[in-house]
Amino acid sequence: MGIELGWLFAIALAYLALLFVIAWCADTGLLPEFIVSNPIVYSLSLGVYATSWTYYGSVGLADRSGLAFLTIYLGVTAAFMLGPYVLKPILRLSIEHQINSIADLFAFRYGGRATGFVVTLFMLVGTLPYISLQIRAVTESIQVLSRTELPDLLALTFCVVITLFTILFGARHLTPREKHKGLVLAIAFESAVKLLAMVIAGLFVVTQIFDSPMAMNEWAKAQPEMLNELYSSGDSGLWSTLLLLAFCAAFMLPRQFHMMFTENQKPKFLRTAYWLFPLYLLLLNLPIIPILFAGRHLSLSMQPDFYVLGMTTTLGHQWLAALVFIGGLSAASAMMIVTTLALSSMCMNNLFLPAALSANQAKDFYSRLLWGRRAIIAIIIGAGYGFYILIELNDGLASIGLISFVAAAQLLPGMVGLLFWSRATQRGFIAGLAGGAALWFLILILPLLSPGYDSQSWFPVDTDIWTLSTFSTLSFNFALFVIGSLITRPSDKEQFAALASLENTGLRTGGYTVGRSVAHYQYALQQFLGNKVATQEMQRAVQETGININDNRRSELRALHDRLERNLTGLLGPAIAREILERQVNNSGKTSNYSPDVRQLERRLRDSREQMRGLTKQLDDLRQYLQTVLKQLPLGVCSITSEGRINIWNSAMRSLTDINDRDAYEKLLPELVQPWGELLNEFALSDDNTRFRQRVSVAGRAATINLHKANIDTTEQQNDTTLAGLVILMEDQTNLHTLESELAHTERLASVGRLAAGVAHEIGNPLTGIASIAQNIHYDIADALVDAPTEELIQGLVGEQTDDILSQVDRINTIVRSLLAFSHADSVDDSPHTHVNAADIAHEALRLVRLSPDTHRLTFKCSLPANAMVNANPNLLMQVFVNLINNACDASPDGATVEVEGSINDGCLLVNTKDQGSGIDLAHRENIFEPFYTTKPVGQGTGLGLSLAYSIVSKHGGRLRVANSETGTCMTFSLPLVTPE
Amino acid sequence: MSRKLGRTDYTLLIFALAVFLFNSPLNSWWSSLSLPWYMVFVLWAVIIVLVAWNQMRQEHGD
Repeated sequence: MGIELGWLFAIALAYLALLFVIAWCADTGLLPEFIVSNPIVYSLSLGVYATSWTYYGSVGLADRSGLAFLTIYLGVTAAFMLGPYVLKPILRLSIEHQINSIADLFAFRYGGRATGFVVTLFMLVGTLPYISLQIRAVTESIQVLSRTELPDLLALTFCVVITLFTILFGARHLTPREKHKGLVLAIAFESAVKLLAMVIAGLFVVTQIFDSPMAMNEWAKAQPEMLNELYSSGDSGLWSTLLLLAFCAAFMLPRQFHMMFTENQKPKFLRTAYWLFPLYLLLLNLPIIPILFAGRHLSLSMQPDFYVLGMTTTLGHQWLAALVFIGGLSAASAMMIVTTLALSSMCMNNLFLPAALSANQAKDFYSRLLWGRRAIIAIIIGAGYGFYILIELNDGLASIGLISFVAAAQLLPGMVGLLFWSRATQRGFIAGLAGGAALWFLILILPLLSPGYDSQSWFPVDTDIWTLSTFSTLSFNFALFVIGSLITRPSDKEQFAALASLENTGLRTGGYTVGRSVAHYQYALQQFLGNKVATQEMQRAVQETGININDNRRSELRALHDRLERNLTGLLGPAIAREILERQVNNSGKTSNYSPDVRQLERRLRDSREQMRGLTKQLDDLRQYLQTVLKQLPLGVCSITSEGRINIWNSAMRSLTDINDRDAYEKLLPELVQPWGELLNEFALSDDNTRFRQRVSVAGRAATINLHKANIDTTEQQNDTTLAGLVILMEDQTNLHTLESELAHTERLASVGRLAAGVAHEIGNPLTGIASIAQNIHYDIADALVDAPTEELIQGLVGEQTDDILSQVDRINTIVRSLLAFSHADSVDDSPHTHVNAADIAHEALRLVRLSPDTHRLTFKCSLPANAMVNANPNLLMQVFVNLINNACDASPDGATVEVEGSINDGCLLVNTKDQGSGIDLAHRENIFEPFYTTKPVGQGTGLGLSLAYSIVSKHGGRLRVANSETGTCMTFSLPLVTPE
Repeated sequence: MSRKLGRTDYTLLIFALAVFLFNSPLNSWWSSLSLPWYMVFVLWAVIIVLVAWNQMRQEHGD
């Protein structure tokens, strides 16, 4: 006794309504997150692979081909075993570039509309037989259960119902970018129902039909021919063919791609699916053989495809029949809903939107997308229904499914190229796919449409049609793909996509065009998406990139461009997203040779770090180490691209300049805040490679810096001109400068101390003279008062002697002024350089030195050219003379002569200070210019004199060196003379 | 200097084992042994267990 048709229809409607409620609860948050989003639900949702072909058709395939039916699932297991090498890169690419379908993936890799168009069209045609299979499975299962002739409109009614539910599931709102959590949960629920129904049916077979597992095995053993037949397919060509087809179908069928990659909520869920999904398939297939045994045991007179329904109705278990029917309905509806949603997205992005764009009908089309998607869903299911009406099915459900599998396998060459071959090109891919698709149509579809047409007769090989079609189409496809790729050159976009696919860097190379400003992008989007949506998309992209809307730096605009392209890819597919942006910026945007975007590269390397292994990991470790060294280097480093834009600005640079690296990045040097902009730009443009002691004022404090620069030579990097540029190093000399000033002051005080006795003596003599003159005046005035003082007399007496006093005071004043000038403590070396006469300075220094009583035992000679003008700080220069003469005095014996002589040679003044001492040992010569190094007894020298003299001469652009003369030591220093104007 | 070795990835090894069992001349051999019907499922289950074990040890190693 069958089940009434009305009941079956009611059960089907109620079940689909339940699915919708589950999806709605998940979408609206009524179900807790841990149920909606977990790896088990994700793995179960992949069970959309098991359609009514698996559910019903596997028994039929097992009946005809034995255990070969398992290859359809063993192939999937193989694909999931290789998940880390095959599935994971695709998932990464899908997430990184917001790729939503298999057509978008190929359009991304093999650049542009043509690829998306061809893949979509072929997948559409290739999937229609599969959709028709689901319609057939459901209608025939209803026929088996109701045991009545079905009304003609039943299949059409089923298609209408599924269309409505598909729209409810996936096209209620226009959210192609967002994950459909409700859909995933509903499909997972359907997978669970399929498994439950199948397992219960299996248990029913084992316990009710055979009484026990042992009894079933005993029965099977008694059928040796059947067992041999079951295993006979193991060594056939079909076995390997089906394994390959299932391997391809596992991730290249539109519905599998959709559930596995588009609806993936967390990448780590895929790891669980590597083993959980094959386990699900194993459990689902475990009852197939017992059901086949039961069908034969009961000698059911029906297609083996429907044994599972037949045995339940034959034995009168209507509840089980209804459960099995629901399982079959789950299998068919899940496939149709997900496939249609995936195909509708592909058709919209790759067929209709490009057409609208070409016809300039794309203005504000965003609002029309939703109705477009709904219409496409209806058209696809309608086309599936048309195929169902058109074709005659003689070889069971599995044969139609395999037609679609062979179609999906035609994407294998392209996928191999995508994952492993950067040289693959769009033309090669399209040629291969077109060739493979044409053969597929001739071998597998034409015989369906023209009964009596035998495509197998073309081939001189006696093998099954599936092996023949798979081998011939894939061979032809691969050959055209490889040849086409080798004779054409990949475009820049393809090279970028190949790099992104193979290495997941996503870093553009070569020329690149960006818009002029954020507003420019806003305008571009408004033309296509309308004001409201364009604003939303811009806000989203600006928020995600964190850029300032007034920032027009190319690096920032480039980041915005990339983000917009990715976001729009999720909405419109890669071809349209790229075209919308490029069409707008191409005419008025900024084009540049793309210099390495160091920050972007850093970010991507950081994001990809967990996927690195082996040598790549070690290289990244090295990169991180060098980056840390560069970052923590106590030396400012700033690298500049060939375009003059800053792309490295380390932390020392930030501390020195108070300019944040984010603010400096991508700026031209003159755009930096002053004084740095002018200083660095002028230095970068100059011929100097080094500049010492540049004085700058930063935030009210004075700083002293040294600058060095070097060109970045890229000849060793295979002439990669994008890496050429300039590196500027900045040393902070402020502390050293302060220390040197303090040392100079200390040395000056030491010199003053040494001169103090002489000074006292020198001042004492005029003071004694003054005292004597004053005494004389006193006596002269007293005598004059006794005689007859007249004003003229007194004036004559005092006036003459007053002149003597003034003369003596003037002498004292000169000594004191010289001493004060020499010992001036307040940043004497900050005084500006002036043109000074070196001879005057030398004489003044000599006079100072001679104040010391210790020098009275010596004779001094000073002969410098009278017109030797040098550009120097007079105080510092005097310090040099004083230090050198003092050293000469210390080294000379009593009665010796200290000689200071000068000459002019090649634009320089050479000054020799000679003593008549014992000379300097070679062992000491290397060290005498080091601070605190002295050969004098303890307490008699600071060890700073020569060091300071050396430093001062160097600062003045000269050089100080030591040599032994015939009579003693000769210290020679040179100074550049002032060029006469 | 001691260096910690990363965990070995057995993915390809397990895949090779699966190919050896299910798509090689060995396939013809076990097909001819008149094994119980469920034996192929047992082999399949062993492969799945190995994949799960490999994945779990890699997750713990991360």
